[in-house]
Amino acid sequence: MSFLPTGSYREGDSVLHRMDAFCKLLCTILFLAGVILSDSFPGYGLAAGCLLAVTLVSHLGPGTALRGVKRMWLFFCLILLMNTAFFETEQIWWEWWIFRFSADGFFQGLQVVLRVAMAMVLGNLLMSTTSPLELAGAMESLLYPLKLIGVPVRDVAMILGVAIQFIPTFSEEAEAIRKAQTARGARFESRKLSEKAKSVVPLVVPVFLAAFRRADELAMAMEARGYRRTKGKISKRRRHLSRRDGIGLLLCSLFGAAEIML
Amino acid sequence: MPIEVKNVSCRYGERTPLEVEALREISFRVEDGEFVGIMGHTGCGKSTLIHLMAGLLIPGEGRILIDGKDINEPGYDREELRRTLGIVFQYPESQLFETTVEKDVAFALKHLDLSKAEKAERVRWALEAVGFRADSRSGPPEIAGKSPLALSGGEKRRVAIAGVLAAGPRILIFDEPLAGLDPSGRLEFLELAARLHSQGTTILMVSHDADALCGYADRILVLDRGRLCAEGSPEEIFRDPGRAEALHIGAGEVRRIAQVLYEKGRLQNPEITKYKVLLDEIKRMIKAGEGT
Amino acid sequence: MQAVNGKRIFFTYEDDGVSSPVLEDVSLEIQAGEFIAVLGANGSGKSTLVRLLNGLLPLEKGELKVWNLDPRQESRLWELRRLCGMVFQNPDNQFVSSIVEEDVAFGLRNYDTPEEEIPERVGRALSLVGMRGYERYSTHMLSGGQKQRVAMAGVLAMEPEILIFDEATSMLDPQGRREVLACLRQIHGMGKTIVMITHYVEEALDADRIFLMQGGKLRKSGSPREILTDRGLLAEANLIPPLAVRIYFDLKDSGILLDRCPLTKEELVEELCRLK
Repeated sequence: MSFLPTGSYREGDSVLHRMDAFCKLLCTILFLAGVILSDSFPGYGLAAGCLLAVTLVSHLGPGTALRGVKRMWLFFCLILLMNTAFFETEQIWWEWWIFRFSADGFFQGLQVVLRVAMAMVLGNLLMSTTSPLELAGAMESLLYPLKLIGVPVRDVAMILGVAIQFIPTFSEEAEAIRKAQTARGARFESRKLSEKAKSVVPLVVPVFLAAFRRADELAMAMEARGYRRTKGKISKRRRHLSRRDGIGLLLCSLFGAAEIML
Repeated sequence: MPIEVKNVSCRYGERTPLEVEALREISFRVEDGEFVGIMGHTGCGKSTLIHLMAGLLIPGEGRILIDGKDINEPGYDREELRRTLGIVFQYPESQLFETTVEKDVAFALKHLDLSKAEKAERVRWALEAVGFRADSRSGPPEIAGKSPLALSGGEKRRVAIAGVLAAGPRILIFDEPLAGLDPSGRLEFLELAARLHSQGTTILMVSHDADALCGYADRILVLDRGRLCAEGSPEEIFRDPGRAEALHIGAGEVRRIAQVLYEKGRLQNPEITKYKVLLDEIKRMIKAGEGT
Repeated sequence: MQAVNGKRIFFTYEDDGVSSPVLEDVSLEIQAGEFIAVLGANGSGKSTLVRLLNGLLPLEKGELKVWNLDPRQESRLWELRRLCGMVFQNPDNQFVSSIVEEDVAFGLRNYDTPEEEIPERVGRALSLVGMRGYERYSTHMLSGGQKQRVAMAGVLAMEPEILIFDEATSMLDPQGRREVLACLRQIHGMGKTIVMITHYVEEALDADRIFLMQGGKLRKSGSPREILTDRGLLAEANLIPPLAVRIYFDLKDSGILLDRCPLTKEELVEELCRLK
């Protein structure tokens, strides 16, 4: 949807929106761990059910929650196919040339697909309900231990937060450059792989140059508004945790534990 | 190569709650060798329209014909379209990517069936057209060997335009070509456009700058909220300043001065949009005043 | 009080061992509350000059005091940047957050403003630029003029004394340009010092004084009338005079002399009506 340059953040007033960003980030990590650790279909069922519940609570609608997942269908099919055809197992459906199709392989592939899809939904939920600077602040808090060994955590978190909100701008820019180069005769639509590979250069170089220019200008604008590299205090905003943050963390911990047991 | 736009409508995000109607039932025709200006408030559909004409978007409804051929018909030769129609986007300098100016300008010639010497000649011609003169008779201008990144903003803009001119298009579309240029850069560009026009190139130019468009365009199209709201000579478009204001296009300074002089009873006719005409009218007005 | 006092400033860019002078022997004085337009063609050194004022570029040679602070004094640089705010050219490249109020608060947080004061100050800054009510909007959804006004609010929230506009209107459509200029005048009306860089001569008409830059030098400073009615001076600086001035000189060239050179179109009409 390059025509609608909204950021990944969506305005809202749900419980998820109001949750403290740091707790939300912790919850996301716990939940993600749960999804990765789960290795049975009841486990996936539980995860999917929980994700559905969280999506409903977030008031975000299926389109936002599933953003990007649909575009990955080819990748998903490929994973399913590869696993089905190459999984090492005794019970084989049928064999042809080097391919050994098996039911176990199919389920193995399905697991990978489910995990990736759920991780994406989880990412969408986090980014859509947390503003870029809140997220940057949360990452800063989370990475705090690294600060003790000299990593400029605040800068890293700030960069990540700002980079996220620039994604729509970059995708717009890439689209504009793609159009311009097409009009100059670049063959992006070409079926030939060799031509396709070559046509990437006129697209990628300008996009990178533009990104560097933007980064440069933004850095200057930030400096002009008094941003000081790592000189500022560690975290200026004290976190006000409320009951809903505690409940969220508890639920996610329970989910993680359940996934381990299932 | 006339361009015909017939009943074109275009929507984004169809069948979603965010559906936006970018263009609605647009029809017009551009004759060979015309200089047509396109005006309208930001978001009125100008960009969509030029993307459609360049075949970079496909209209939901309607047809676009160039030289009588529908450019969206399955059998249409897209490569042919890329050769006949050049488009210079807003801030075109952002599309430069090669290691030297020469290579970048030659990019548009990559798929053309030309000898090396012919390609070099085209590059030289294009660079000269945008004002980079060669010192010797045969060699390319000095700038050809430089990296595009090492140039000044104005030079980058001209190199990018040369990169479009090199393919020798007979129709040129400019999207806000004056944006970000300083006064001498603007004047240089407008002179380039006028020169190309006088050599027979059809020119379509999108701009907010009424004075610039009125000075050069034969005809102006005005878009407002996806519709073609007005079409005519600069004088006709700005005949009624109130209506122009309602279409979110401001008249140029020339037209405004003419209006005030008319209201003060000094000029017979306020419909003046070109600087030279205004100057001549003022001279005549003064002479007539002296005569009485 | 003097807002800016600079003496004999030089600045050179180094690139691959080749150094090219960008500013040569520039001396300038700006009084508090003045509205200065810095006019010049691309590459005349306008942006470099103003970036020295708030220490975004290091001063190499010369003396400079901005609101009595020396940009070279690193311990006070931070303070200087609060006093001397800057709005840049590209509205998209100065937002750190995609949410209006969060972006406006960015500077305040950098200056350790107590969290409970922030909403009020953000609201006040947004009111000043006529963007109250847009607090929770996404910056991606705003028009160019609105984006620049939010950027102005981000600077105003820090309560600066001097505001620098670095070609802040050059990427806007006419509507956006009008919005930003109207805000700028209003801020000037509040007593703030304004330094506006532009190459649109029409925008410089309202200024108290114009600094004309040419080839890295401050060619001349003076009232809009002094600078903009001097055809030869503008031509040398690669600029084109306002329309009324062009008409005056073109009439003069064909033997018609008006009593005085008009600056605006109102003055031109007045002059023409006086004839006969």
